[in-house]
Amino acid sequence: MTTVEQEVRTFLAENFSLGKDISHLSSSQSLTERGFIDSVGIVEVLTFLETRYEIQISDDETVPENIDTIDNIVRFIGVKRGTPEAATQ
Amino acid sequence: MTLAPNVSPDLLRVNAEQVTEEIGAFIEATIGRMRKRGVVLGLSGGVDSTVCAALCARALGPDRVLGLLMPERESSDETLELGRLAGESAGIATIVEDITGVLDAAGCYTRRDEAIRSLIPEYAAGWRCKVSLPSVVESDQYRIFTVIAQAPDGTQRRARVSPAAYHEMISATSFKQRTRKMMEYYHADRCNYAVIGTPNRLEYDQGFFVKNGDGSADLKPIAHLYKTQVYQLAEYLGVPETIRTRPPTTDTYSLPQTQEEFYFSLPYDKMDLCLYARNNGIDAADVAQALGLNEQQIERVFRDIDSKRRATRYLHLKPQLVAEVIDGGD
Repeated sequence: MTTVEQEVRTFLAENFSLGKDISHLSSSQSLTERGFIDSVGIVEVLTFLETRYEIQISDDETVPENIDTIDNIVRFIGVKRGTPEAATQ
Repeated sequence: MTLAPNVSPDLLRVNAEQVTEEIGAFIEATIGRMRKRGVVLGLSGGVDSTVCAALCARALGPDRVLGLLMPERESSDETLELGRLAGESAGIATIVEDITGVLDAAGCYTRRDEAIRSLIPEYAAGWRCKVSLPSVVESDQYRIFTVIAQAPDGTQRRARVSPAAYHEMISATSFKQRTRKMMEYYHADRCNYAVIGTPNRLEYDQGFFVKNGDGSADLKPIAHLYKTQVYQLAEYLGVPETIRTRPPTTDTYSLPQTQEEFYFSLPYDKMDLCLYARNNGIDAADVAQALGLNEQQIERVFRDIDSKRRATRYLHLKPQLVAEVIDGGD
């Protein structure tokens, strides 16, 4: 598991699962379609990502391909930071 | 999948006379069972509350229906005027309760304005605001709220709404719906009346209401009707044309804002057909053809419908108990 993935999982657990373990949540599962987060939750995720990784996410980038699964988030953060290989470490 | 019917607005056509009789019987029986003497309802000047007033007046007699007009300082100018017209057309008594003072005392405006200033520091007295969502049909972009603030000179500023500001803005503006409901229950208790909730099916299904605000009521006589069907009843019941032709509005923010801009994906007539299709297993391709959109766009609307149902499920829940208790029944 990459550092980014671990940090995202910790954020999701603390903010959307009362701090309980979310290891049952597969990294390829949709966060929105299974109701884990809603549209306000998406903004919370965006705010976390922008703050933690010092990036700017435009409205155009707020699409499922970038945000809807933990895998997608890790890949997206890698691209935004110019280190796409981080997603596969 | 269902065999593709001929998808058109005709799917939502109802026999207005028959529906009126059914709802009237429901109102009369329910109020009788509740041992109440009549009903009270808020009149916004919109078609839903006007139809409810007319249905109640028919079912119970106009002298057993009280309409409340509850403007506040940010209400549009026509709200009070059309509310009065709604009351007159139903032949019922109305009372004006200006709720600005209550909202001021609760900090509705100041709390909301502070949240907006956290996003747009220039926002000040004399500015007006609203929140809006991007179109569902135009892209896959998540529906993230943007606040739009307009200076007195007409220039506009926009900002993405942060989670903290979103929660503050929504909870502060919800004072409006909750204060109105408080006032409705004051008059209901005073008169030994029940309170009518006026959501249509789109609003009820998609959670477009404030819990313990406009979502609270003793009975909701048109919550099973699509908005298109409410308009059919409005015509049958003789609701004035100025009310029937008024675009659905939230009338919650100081800048004009349609329901479509704030919540729903499409204009109500198209949204109705999408919701009907979703409820009846009709394929997106068939709906797309009927609405002049493409299949991908309708799939996005379907996903938005499902997403809103999930996100607002808790609004419909009764208080949760550890164990069942005797509740007094009917």
